[in-house]
Amino acid sequence: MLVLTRKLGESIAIDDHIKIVVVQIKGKQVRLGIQAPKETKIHREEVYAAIQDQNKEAVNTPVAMAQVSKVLKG
Amino acid sequence: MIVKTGRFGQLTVGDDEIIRIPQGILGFPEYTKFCLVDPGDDTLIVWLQSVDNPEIAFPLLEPKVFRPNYAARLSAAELRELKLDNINHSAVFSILTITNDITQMTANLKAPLVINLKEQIASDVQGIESPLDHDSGSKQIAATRGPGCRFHGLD
Repeated sequence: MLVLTRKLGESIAIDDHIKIVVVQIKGKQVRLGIQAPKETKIHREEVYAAIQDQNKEAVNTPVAMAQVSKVLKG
Repeated sequence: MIVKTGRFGQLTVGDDEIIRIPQGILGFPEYTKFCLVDPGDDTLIVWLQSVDNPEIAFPLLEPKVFRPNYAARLSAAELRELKLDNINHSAVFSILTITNDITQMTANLKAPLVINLKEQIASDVQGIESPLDHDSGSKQIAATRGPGCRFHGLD
């Protein structure tokens, strides 16, 4: 992994179209501004990972679905 | 096309019934062709069955069943990806995680599956944080709540 040191207000350019700016540093938090083409998908990594994990669980649904019917019908 | 599924036995899937998910489902990028299966078991759950891998099927439920006011948010890029020019041609589903303890079932509201019923294209829209949007407080709250939404209040 490439590691760069940046100060507040400084930025990093990726290719010609993506720019990441350090907007704020407060304690242990860094606020980043991102400029990118609108097709670029940007996520907070942990949200992305959580959705993937949940989808992997979803395909392991037990076959006994009769109980589900009861729960949904109330 | 005949698909020998683990869950539903042998299914015959017509070309016009295939739903394409070009990006795949998060965590399963390798599978891009699916069909919807309604097992007719009274559960309100339909299944997104992979045509590429017969063992892969996701249980789906329309979020309006348990969240009448739920709305999926799509970015302009996602609308283009889905070729969705008319919202009326779309259906929104949540992927369910059904555990052995049924009361702990969760529905994924963070990445709802949106299907363009006319073009038969779908995507699990991920509430993409568009670089054009300014960071808003509501998005941060949504991000820290995690993808799952429990609805055991229904039992």
